[in-house]
Amino acid sequence: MTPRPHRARVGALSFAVSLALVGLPACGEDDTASEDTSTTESAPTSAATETTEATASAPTISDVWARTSPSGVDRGAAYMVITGGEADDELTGAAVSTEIAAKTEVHEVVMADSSMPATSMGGGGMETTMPAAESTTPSMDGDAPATTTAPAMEMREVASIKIPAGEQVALAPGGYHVMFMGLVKPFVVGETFDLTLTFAKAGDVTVTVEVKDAP
Amino acid sequence: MRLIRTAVAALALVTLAAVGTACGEEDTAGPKAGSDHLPDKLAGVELDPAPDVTDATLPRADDGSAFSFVPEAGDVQLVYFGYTACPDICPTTLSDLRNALKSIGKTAAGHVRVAMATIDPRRDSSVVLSGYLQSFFGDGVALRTDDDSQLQAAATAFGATYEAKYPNQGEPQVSHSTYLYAVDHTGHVVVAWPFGTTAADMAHDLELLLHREKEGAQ
Repeated sequence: MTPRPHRARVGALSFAVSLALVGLPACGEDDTASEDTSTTESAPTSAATETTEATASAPTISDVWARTSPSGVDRGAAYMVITGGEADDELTGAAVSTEIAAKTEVHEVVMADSSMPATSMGGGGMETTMPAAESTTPSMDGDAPATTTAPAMEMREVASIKIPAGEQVALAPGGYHVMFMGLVKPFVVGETFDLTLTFAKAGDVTVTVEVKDAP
Repeated sequence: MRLIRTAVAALALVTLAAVGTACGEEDTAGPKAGSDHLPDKLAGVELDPAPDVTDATLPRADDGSAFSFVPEAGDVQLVYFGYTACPDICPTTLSDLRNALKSIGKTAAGHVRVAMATIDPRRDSSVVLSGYLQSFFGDGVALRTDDDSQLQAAATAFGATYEAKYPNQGEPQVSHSTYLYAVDHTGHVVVAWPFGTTAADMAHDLELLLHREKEGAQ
């Protein structure tokens, strides 16, 4: 069910190398759960350190999806979970074929302080930047202070998203998303398309986006 | 659920004697254990004081007639202020609501009315807005006005805020509050769901509100 993380070419290669170096114990770990755990645990450390360098800049991407287009709408959004590699990296761009959409940008939803006239893009109207999506849900409790005026949100383009080493960054509704403008045709449930993500260090990583009604 | 049933069936096959009782038990215990004891606390935000929207009105997008936000007794009116060029917040909330309505069943959902007012009338024509809303809810009522003071007045009655800016170049900038409001037959906003409220929480609140409506009607 969970889509396998797509790796950059470098990542895939070094992964293969590490498999080759570690050999059977690694496979054993995958296939039979507990037969030879001790060997797997203490798998040649030299191999491990050697391979970390090669995978260093490759974040992995999973759970990639885009929402079905409501009628008459020529824009859409894609969501995913990006797990940082061994080194810090940044998502700096996203692109799809012009057969899918005219324009692709990375966006985030932020709280807007609507009592202040937000002068221009990125101007003083912004309040708290919503962090990656895990934290969007807890605050939605009924215990939230009941104010008469609801908080306002707005979207803005971001130049990059930091992907710290080993950490998960969710692109999820209410936080970051990849936004498509000028969809050539509506997103229909079950369809898939390629999305190329550009990372500052890892370079281009192409993932498959699945169109769904909900995550 | 299906897994459990399969497991029960498998077990039943092994212990042949138990077949009859096991299946019988499964069937009677099955239907909706949850709906019997609803916690009385709403999952959404109860605004204090509850906004009174009795006097608020907006024109329907289809025929321009004045739409009242006050539902008949027994029904719940849901109201959303959004826009169709919103790729993230609006469709997320509306699709969560769609799932909530599915999960409470057709009969209950028949007592829930959905209306969406556009805060971006410049880009949302009547046709676009109606088509958009109805791709989520077949009988959803689209509301639209070119008169910003009228829209402002309606939004203010709910406590909703919005701002749409149309620069000469580039994308229009739209910000909006993201609550989905539920209005009871007295014309009060009884609950507001912030963005991110789950379909399950919405379903829970809808069942509770409909239950209260039913009791109130008796």
